[in-house]
Amino acid sequence: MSDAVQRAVGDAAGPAPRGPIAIWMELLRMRVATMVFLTAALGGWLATRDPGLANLARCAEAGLYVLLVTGCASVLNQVVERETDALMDRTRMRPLVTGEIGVVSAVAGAVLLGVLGTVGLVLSFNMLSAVLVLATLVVYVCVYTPLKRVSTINTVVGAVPGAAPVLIGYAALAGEIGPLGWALFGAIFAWQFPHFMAIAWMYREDYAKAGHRMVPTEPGSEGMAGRYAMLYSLSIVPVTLMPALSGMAGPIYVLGALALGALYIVPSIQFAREESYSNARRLLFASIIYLPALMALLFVDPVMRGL
Amino acid sequence: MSTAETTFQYDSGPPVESGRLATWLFLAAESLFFGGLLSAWLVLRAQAQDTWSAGLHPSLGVGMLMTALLVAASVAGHGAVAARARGTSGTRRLLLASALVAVFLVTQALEYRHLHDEGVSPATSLRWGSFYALTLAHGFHVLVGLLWLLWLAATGAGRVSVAPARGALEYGVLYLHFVDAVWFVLLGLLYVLR
Repeated sequence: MSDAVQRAVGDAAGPAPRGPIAIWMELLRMRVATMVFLTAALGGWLATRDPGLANLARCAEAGLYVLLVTGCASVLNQVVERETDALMDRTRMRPLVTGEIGVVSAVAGAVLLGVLGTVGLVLSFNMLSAVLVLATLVVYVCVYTPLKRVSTINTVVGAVPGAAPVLIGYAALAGEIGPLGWALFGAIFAWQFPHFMAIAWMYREDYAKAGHRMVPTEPGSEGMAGRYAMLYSLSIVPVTLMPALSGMAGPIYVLGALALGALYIVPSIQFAREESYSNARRLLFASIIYLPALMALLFVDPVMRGL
Repeated sequence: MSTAETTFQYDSGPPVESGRLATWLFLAAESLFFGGLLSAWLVLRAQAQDTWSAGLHPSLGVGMLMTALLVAASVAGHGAVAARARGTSGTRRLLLASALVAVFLVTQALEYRHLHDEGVSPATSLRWGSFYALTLAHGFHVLVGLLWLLWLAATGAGRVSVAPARGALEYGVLYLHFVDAVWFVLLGLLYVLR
């Protein structure tokens, strides 16, 4: 690894050298990792609904194990894609591209993380969550990553591991996947499409350079990204109302979910009407607000009802 | 002072068409009306707690059917505006939207009759009283929407040749979207929530 760092230092055009912590933070994609941790912990909390400190710690523990395994998936994905990542502006500064870390050390670190997370789930929680987390890893690294270069269907496949953390967190604490677990999974699954369509559209030239098959990179695809975004943002309304159907959410949740749905649908429709940079940015912004707000709502509603 | 005079162009007209401004103001007032009703519902619901959900629950299937009808009407109305903007006639889509809205109202009437047969009336409980108050208030707005759409179709607002009517068509469809949005709230609170 020190050899790799020196190479980066020696490269006059290269960036300032990063320490090993910064490199691993980059490899684990901290912003994504934070989201994974929060959604998994929230899934766990919704399975228990106990605001006690001991239970919150349990949920955080489950979130940490999920985070370790998804971190493993993230590193392995960057190992596989290190050559195409070099072609995209968005990813060409990743440590495996710049050579700041070698493939062997990255894989070794990833395996260690993956084993720690999986064993943690098995010993501290249950088999179901461990199986789910490994399935997520396999889908992400062995199906989604190679599929990116084959078909635009990768967006749908990639949305499964994207939505999985909340389901795993729920399964870890509940020991089963109830209707609420599936509803949460469905909501995050649908949420990703407008979010990704906005990103894929904004970076479509970048993706095309790397040979990634995204909806907006396909020839003759004008308007398709917008239509996908609109369709999935509409589907998020019935999906987010599902917890209310089974009596697991109250009026505050219903009103909030509907208002948030409108907040997401309006920019999606605008993006579908006109695929422009400003509309894509607005949709991306709405998507970033939407998910934390929905999670906050799921947390606030039972507390307000005194559950 | 002189800059203000030079930058304000009287010839270009107001920044927002007066009809559009009037429609948005009207919809804002309507939002307050429904906001009041819904707030009252929330207070009643919060006070009732466990006793609320006892007995018959409105059929979610019927609620979904009515949702589908209103959403389809909204889409058809949107299609009429889009067709008009493209320079083709939107009258047929306007009539389709009217028909869907009419079927919505018939479905609501049938639901009321079914509830009556089940022995439910506005006097049954606080819950059913508020159910009727909200759905009737909304249904009345849907009826106004139906008349508005039919009036638009009758005056030829969908036709390309009627030059000044394009705005009127948009305002009518905007009202339809509003009624649709309010219905989603009612669906969530009255039909879905348990």
